[in-house]
Amino acid sequence: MSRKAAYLIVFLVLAAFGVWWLYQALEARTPTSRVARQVRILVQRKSLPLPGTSRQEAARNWSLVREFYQRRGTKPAWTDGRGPLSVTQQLVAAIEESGRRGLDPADYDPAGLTDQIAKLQSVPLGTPPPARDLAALDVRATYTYFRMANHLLNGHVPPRSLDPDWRKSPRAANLAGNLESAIRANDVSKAFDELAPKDPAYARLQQTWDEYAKLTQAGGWQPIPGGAPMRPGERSTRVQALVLRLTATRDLLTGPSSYDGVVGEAVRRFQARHGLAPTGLVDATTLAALNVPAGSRLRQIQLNLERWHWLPSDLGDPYVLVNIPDYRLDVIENGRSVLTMAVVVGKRMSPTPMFSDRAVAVEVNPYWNIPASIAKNEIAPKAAQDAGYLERSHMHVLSEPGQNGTEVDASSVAWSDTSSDVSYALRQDPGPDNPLGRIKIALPNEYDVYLHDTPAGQLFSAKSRDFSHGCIRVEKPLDLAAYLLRGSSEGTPEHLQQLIDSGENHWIAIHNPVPVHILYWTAWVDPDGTVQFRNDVYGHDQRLDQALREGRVSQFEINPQPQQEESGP
Amino acid sequence: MVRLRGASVVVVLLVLAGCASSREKAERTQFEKASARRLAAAKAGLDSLAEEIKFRTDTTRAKLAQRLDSLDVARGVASLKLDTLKATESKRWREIKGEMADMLSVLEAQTDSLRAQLRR
Repeated sequence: MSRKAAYLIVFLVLAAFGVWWLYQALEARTPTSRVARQVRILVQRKSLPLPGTSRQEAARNWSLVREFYQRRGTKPAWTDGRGPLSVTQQLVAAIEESGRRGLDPADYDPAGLTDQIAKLQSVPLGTPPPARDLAALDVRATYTYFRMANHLLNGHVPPRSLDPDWRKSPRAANLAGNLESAIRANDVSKAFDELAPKDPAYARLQQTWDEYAKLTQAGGWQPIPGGAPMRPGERSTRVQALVLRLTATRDLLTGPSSYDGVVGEAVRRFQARHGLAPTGLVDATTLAALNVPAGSRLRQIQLNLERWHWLPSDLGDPYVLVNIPDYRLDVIENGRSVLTMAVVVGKRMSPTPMFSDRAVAVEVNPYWNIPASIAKNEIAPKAAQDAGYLERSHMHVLSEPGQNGTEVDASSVAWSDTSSDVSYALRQDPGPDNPLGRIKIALPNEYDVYLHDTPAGQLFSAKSRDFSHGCIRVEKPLDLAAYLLRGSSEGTPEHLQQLIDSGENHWIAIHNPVPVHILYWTAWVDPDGTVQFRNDVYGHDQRLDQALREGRVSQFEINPQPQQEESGP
Repeated sequence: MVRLRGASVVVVLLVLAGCASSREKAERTQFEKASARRLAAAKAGLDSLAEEIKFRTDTTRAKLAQRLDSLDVARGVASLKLDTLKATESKRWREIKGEMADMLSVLEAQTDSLRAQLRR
């Protein structure tokens, strides 16, 4: 190579380097780069006061903020160096509308965010706002977005903080990617929609929230004065108040002045929507339900929207839904109930836990392995009083619970000693006395809760059916078993009946295990638009309401260790 | 001196708590291993019964095969229960341990009864 050519190459390399350096220098002076530099300073700080309901929550969201900015080389997302972008306004709007997503707007401080945006927008034309302030807004908006996104994805309150037995299936999503898409598509609301539950029942409940929010804003409804039960034929100011009340929630469309058949029908409709006996008479219970203020119903809807966030993304199709406050089981196919029946659930003292599981097998003529607590508290006193009780009830006493279960003589057990833990196990043979009845649906969950038949069928006619020790007694066990075993030659009702009649214990596998969700809905909307409310039988609404109110936003230092700020222009 | 006494009480309590926890852990491991062994034995037993039933030509064959299928389903459910037991936290573990053991004993008793019926 000639010397001339070598000089040329060196010159070209130097020139390229010079161009690159010049570009970098100019780029560093662009408004976006200045903000990016400030964002980098902010996200590298370890001590930053951030809102959250717990330190863990704040730390989790902060790590998402860092991941998000690292992925985009600390480039601002909500600002462009000259001011806030329209997505910031979209975020404020989404926060203000977050009530319909089961969230509380106050938790995300929309007023503070609006002030910050307004301050940056009020800078005189031609003067870019300070990069530091733009970066602060950018990081705050990102943090707020992730906070809300996490609440939409998995709820605001962890259910186990309310009830240690409440199991939820955490939903996962790429939140950094979700925000990136929101910024790119300039659509924050759509990105939030992607994180919310997709079930049409959630959307129906949201629409109802909108309606009740409007009703509440307009003053709700006036309470009906107390008094004797109202009956058809009555004309009074109380009846006028009743008509107004029923009209407010569209149980009644026209407004007659007397308690006629139309009003009676509307009362029945209202009663059915509230899990009350549809008598058509306004007794004390119905009056109490009528007089629950619109604002309380709105809150009840919001609490149930929050619970939707605790559910798995995919409930399955078909699936079995047991709604505790409604004392009802439904088999849902394509969003509609194809089989419905009454259930008896756990008492308030031994509530049925909330969880999701799969029905894996049907046991015909089941044995009942009596839990130690029931053996000690309920069976032992009867055995102590009546020596023939166990034999008559077809119960066997087995040596030490949890061991090989060798049968022992009932007379060798000190039944009257209920002071210590039981040193035996009890098992009841299949038969008419067995409280599991003739059919048991096995769910391999950690609570030993299953769905089963019962010989005490009269309990299904009660309006409130919380009588069990936690298991779920079903009204139509044969229909349910036949549905779960559909397609199997062993699953026809006739064959199941034959097996029952044989009196022998028999297991049948459910080849396509069906998801079973034990849930707690006190407000929901039927596919035909009927809004349903139920009583808070276990007090979960009350606890959730309190937790949401107490879990107000606090400021947390992400990592309260002093760290020097990076110096920069 | 008072401080020293307090510290020694704390140490003793910690040691006791540690012992209790390791005892629980050992009990849990032992029970879960034993249950897995019993399930494996039940499977082997059912497999051998299936072989025997295959060669039956009498009228009871269908009935015996049906009982065998039923026991195999019960074994499958017990196996799922063991998975649940293994994954469950300590408080709940003790409560469902009894149910697990009972499922196994019923399964074993019914397998024995089927075997006796086959060889009668």
